[in-house]
Amino acid sequence: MTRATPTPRRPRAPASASQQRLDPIGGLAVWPLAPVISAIVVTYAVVATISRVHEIALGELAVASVAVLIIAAAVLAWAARPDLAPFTRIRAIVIVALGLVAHLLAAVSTWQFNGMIQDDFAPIGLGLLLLALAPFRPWKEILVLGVCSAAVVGITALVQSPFLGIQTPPVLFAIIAMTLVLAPGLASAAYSRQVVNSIHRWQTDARRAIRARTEESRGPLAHEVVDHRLTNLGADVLPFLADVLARQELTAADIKRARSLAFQVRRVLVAEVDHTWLDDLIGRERIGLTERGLNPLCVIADPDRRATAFDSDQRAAAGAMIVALCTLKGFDPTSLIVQIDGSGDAPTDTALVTQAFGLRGALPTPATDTTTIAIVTAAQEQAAAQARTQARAQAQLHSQTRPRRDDRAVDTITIQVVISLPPHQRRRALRPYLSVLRAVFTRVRVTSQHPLLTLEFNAERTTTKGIK
Amino acid sequence: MSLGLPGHLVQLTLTRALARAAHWFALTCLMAAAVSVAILSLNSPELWVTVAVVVAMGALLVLFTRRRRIAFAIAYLVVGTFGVYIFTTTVLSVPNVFPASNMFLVAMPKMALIMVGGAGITAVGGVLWSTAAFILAEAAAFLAILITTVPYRPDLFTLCTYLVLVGAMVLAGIDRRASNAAQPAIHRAVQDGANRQLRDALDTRAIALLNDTTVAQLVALSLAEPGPLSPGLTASLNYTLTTLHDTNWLTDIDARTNTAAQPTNTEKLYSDVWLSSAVYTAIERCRDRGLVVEVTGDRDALARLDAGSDRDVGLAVQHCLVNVILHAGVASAEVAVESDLSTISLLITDAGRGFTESESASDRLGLRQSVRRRIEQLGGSVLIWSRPGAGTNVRLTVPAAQIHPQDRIKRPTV
Repeated sequence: MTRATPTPRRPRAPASASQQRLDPIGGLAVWPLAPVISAIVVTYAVVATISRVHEIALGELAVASVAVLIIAAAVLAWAARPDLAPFTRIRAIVIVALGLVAHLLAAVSTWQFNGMIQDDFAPIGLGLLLLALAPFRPWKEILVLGVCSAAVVGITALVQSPFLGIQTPPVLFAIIAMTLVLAPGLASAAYSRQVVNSIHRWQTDARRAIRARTEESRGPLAHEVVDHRLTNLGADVLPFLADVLARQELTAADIKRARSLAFQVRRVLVAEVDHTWLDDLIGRERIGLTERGLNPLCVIADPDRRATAFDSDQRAAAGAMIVALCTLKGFDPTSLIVQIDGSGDAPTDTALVTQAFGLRGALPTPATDTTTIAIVTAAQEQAAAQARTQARAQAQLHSQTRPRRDDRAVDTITIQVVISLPPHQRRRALRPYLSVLRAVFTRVRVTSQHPLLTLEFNAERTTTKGIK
Repeated sequence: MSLGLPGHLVQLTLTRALARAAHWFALTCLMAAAVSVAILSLNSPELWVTVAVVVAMGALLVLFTRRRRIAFAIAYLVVGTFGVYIFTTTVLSVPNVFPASNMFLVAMPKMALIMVGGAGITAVGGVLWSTAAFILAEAAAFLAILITTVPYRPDLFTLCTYLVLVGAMVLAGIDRRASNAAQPAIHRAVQDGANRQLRDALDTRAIALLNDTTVAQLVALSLAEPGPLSPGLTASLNYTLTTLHDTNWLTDIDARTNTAAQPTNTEKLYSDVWLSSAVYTAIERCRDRGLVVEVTGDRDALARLDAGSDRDVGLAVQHCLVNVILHAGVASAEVAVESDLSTISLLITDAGRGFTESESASDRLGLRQSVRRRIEQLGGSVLIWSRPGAGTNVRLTVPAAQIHPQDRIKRPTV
C-alpha cells in the first residue's frame, strides 16, 4: 500500500516573512485583532489609573502616561488597517517605544507610592501590544522587541523595589514585571514563527504542483502554438512556396510576391514578439466579455513593454485584479484602461518569459536576420519611434512627481475602470485583491470618483538585472 | 508572494500556531514561577517543594507539546491541579509576605495550566480543555486559600488570560474565508501565469523557427533572379516545406533539447487520453481549490474506459479528493493509476487524519454510498483503509476493455 509521498526538505521562510506578507488575504481576516487589543489596552489603562488614584504622586504625568498609551494603541489600530498594509518595522518600533514611554511616565507618576508592580497597567499594556504584532511582523523582530521591553520594565521594577509594599527580594519584582511582558511577547513570536512556517511550506508545495501541472500541458500547448502559427502563415505562404517548387521556375511576379509576403510575415512575427502577458490577459477578458453579449473596449497602453519586467507574483496579483474587475457587477465593459509607464530604463529583453520556469533549451529572442530587417519599411520604424516618444513623455511626467534613483526603475501600472456599484460593495469585493496587490507592489493607491475607480501601483526593479 | 493558504488549511494552521503560542506563554509563566519560588526558598526552605511542582508541570508541558497525546494532556491537567494546590498553599503560607490571595506569582501556574486548551484540534475542543483547566485551577486555588491565613481576592489575571485565550481560539475557529472566492482566483491567476509563460516560451521558439525558415526562404526568393530554380533554392524550399508540414516540429525540438540539456530528467509529455479523461478534470478541479495532487502510474490506461465509466470514475475520484480537502487536514494527496489486462485501479491516498468506519457523518456516508455504489454499478469494487491519525487509502477498481500485452506498446494516443 502506498502512502502520500513524503515531501522533501523545504527551504526556510525568509527572515522578513510575516503572516500578512505571505498570505495577504489571511492577514485581512486577522486584522480586527489589532483594534480589539487596542481597545482592551486603553480600557485597562484608564480603569487601572482611576482605581489606583491614591498611589499617584504626579497627576499630570499619570495623565500623560495614559495619553501616550492611548496614542500607542491608536497607532496599532491605524497601522494594522488593510489599506495601509504592509505593517512596517518602523510602525512596530514606534508602537513599542510609545508603550515604553507610557510605562516610564507611569512609573515616575507613582514614584515612592506604588504599592505593587503586578497591577501596573503599562507592562500589561505592552505585553498586549506585542501580542497584537503577531500576524504582522516576523517572529525574530517580535522577540527582540519583547526582550528589550522586558529588560526596561524589569530595571524599572528593580529601581522601584525599595518603595513597594511587599517585602521580598527585589529581583522578584523584576521577574514579575518581566513576565507580564515576556509571556505575551514570546507567545506572539511563537505564533508568528509557526504560522509563517506553515504558510511557507504550503507555498513551496503549491509552487511545485503548479510547475508540474504546467508541464503536463506542454504537449497540447505546443500543438496549439504550432496550429496557430501555421494558420497565421495563412493560405498564401505555404501554397506559394509549394507552387514555386512545383513549377521549378521563378517569375518576376513571384519575386515581387515573395518580397511582399516576407514583409507581411515579418510584420506579424514582430507584432507577436511584442505581445506581453498583459495583452494576452486583456485579450482573453475581451473574448469573455464578448461571449457574455457585451461590447468590450479595453485599452492597454504599455509602449515600453514594461509589463515584461513583472515577476510571476506581480503578474498573478495584477491579473487576478483585472479579472475580478471585469467580472464585477456593474462593470462598464467600455471603460477599462490599463496603462504602464514609469521612470528608469524600460526592461531590456523580450525573453524574460522563458526564465521564470527554467525552460531548458528555450531559445532567446528570434535570430536577427539583416536581410529581412532591410525589408521592414520606414512606416514600421516610424510607428515604433512614435510609441517610444509617447512613452518617454509619459515617463518624464512621472519622474517629475517622484524622485529618481539611478540604479532602480519604477514601473507604474494604472488601471482605470467604471464600476457602477455602491462604493462599500465595491470596496468589499476588491479588498482581498487589493491586499494581495499591496503585498507584491509598492505604493498602491486607490482613488474613486464614483463611478470611476483608479488603481495605481508601483513595481520597483533594478535596471541591471532586468527582472525583479 | 501572493499564494495564500487555501480555505481548507486555514483553521488547522491557525490552531497549530495558537497551540505553539499557548505553550510558550505557559512555559514562560512556569519558568518565572520556578525562578521566583527558588529565590524565595533561600529564606523559606519549605518552598523547595513548589519548585519541584512547577518543574514537573513544565516537564509534562514539554512532553505534551512534543507528542500531542491526550494522555499527556490529562496528566498535565491532573498534575497541574495538584501543583496549583500545593503551590498556592505553600507560597501563601510564608508568613508576612503576601497581603492577599490575588498575587501574580500565585496566578502563574494557573495561567500555565489553562494554556492546555491551546492544543485542542478544534476550537470547541480547545475551549473545553481550557474551561476544564480553568475550573480545576480555580477550585484548587480556592481550597488552598481557605487553609491559609491570607484573605481571598478574586484572581483577575487568570480570568483575563482564560478569556483572551478562549476569544483567540473562537476567532481562529471561525473560518471567515470559506466563502471567499479571492483565494482560488489568485491561485488560478498564478496557474494561468505559469501556463502563459510556457506558451510564450514555445511561441518565442516557434517564431524563431519561422523566421529562420519561412521568412528567410521568402527573402531568398525575392533576391533571386527570374528563371529556373537553382538546386540550392530547390533544396531549401524542400526543407522549409517538409519542416512546416511536420506538425510535431515544436514538440520534437522541445523533447530533443530537453533530453540533450538534461538527460537524466526526460520530459513526460502526457497524451490527450489522460488530459481529456474525467479523472484528470476531477483532479484539476481539486487542484484549483488548493489541494496538491500527485498523479503516478499508467495514466493512459484510462483510455480503456468507455465514456460512461470514465465519467463515473471521475466523479468518484472527485468525491474522494473533496473528502481530503474537507476532512483530512493535509495539503496533498496522491492518485495512483494501475492497470492489468482486464481492470483499472485508482488508489487515492492521503496522510491526513483518517477516520473509523463507525463514524456516521453524512459525508462519510457519501464516501460509502456515492463512491461505492457508483463504482459497484460499473461492476467494480471499492476498498477503504483508514484509521484515525494514519491517513486514508481508497482503492477503486473498475473493469476495462481487455487488451493484449503487445497492444500496450503500439497503442496510438488519441
